[in-house]
Amino acid sequence: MSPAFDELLAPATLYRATGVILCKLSQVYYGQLDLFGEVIRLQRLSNLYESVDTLREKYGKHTVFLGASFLAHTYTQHDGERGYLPERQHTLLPGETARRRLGMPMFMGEVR
Amino acid sequence: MEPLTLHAFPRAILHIDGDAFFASCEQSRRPQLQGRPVVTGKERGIAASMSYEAKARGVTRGMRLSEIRKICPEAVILPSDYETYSLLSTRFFAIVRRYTPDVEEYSIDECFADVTGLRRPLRMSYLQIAERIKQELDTALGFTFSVGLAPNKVVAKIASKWQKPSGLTAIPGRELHHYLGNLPVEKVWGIGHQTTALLHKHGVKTALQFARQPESWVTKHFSKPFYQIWQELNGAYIFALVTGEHETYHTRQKVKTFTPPSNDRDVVFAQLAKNIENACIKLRKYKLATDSATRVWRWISLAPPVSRTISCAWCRRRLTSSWRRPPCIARRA
Repeated sequence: MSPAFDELLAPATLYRATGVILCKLSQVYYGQLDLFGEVIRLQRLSNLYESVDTLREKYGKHTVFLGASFLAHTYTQHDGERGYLPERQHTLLPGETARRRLGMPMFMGEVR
Repeated sequence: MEPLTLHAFPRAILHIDGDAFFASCEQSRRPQLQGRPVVTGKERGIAASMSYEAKARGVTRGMRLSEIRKICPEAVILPSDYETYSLLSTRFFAIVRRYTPDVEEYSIDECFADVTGLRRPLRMSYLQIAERIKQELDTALGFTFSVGLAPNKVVAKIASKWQKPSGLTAIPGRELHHYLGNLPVEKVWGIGHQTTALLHKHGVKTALQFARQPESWVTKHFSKPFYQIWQELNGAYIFALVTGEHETYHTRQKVKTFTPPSNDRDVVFAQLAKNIENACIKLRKYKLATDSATRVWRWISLAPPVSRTISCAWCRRRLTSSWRRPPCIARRA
């Protein structure tokens, strides 16, 4: 990715969005074996991502992330007014975290 | 006037649409906001959804927040809470499924439901079923829905929009011509700007004029999807409901903005890397890369299309205003 990125990046240009579109996706169930050890490497990576997904399911999205995206995970996506989060994300019940909350709409009114 | 078809409801399709869905969700869980102009989309800087009170004051979708504050200073502007909206959306679909299992979740705030054949088991007419579902939705979710009942999806869409908000419109096939007579053809679901322009060139301005065209004329000038729309406007049931869950995708995209804008290579690259990570999480979820070999193969083989599509997905904008780079601890270290 990095060489392609550097080719596209125009210096002295301010960027306000990035994006990726993955095309020509297909459902594939079987991996093909080969004679050159590629399968072993792929199996290792597969195991790695299975672990990443397990951690994500248990502790929330982006518990483990790529070093390349460190800066994007360290700071909020938006500064200023655009960075305001919905009230539900501030109003946490005991045991809830910023990433994992009970799947129920919260009543925000007052009961007198 | 000659009817387009003699049947009333050979199939009974409902289209149910939440009125100002996001803003209504906010009003529903915060009763103090009811009756006040509510706008969501603070995090985007533009109005994503607005309550009918805000619409009455001239707020439109996509309007900048600064403009909204000028024309409607009392507006309550909130950041979108998609988590809550999707939870309420799930409840909405669950309520409709109490009546029929044939429900197509068309988007977060609208669905199609096939209630054909339910008159006898429910001991109600199709209109009564529609009324009951609407009543249940309005009560359970605390805001209103607009419902259209028709013999097919295209006409059900027209019916649900006929009277908004909180409308209930039934269009039996044999009365279809009364509804299409004054309806501009561009208001029909699936007919966009290009097709409208082409239809106008042939002197077709209303949906009824389109429906009355001979079949040979339609097949000669238009492709299959528009022929199918023509068939549905004549009361036929062509577009089946897609009731299954989304099982796969042909493309997957992640595009995200960030503030403040940056020309720091590492900051921009980190944003892109995060998008790729998120896109790949989705690929794994939909089993597009579950197999050991294919998972990594997808990573590698997708690299060329990624690099090709970056140029178009990339929103590059030169900004004249000054910018500041986010503090970067990693670099200092």
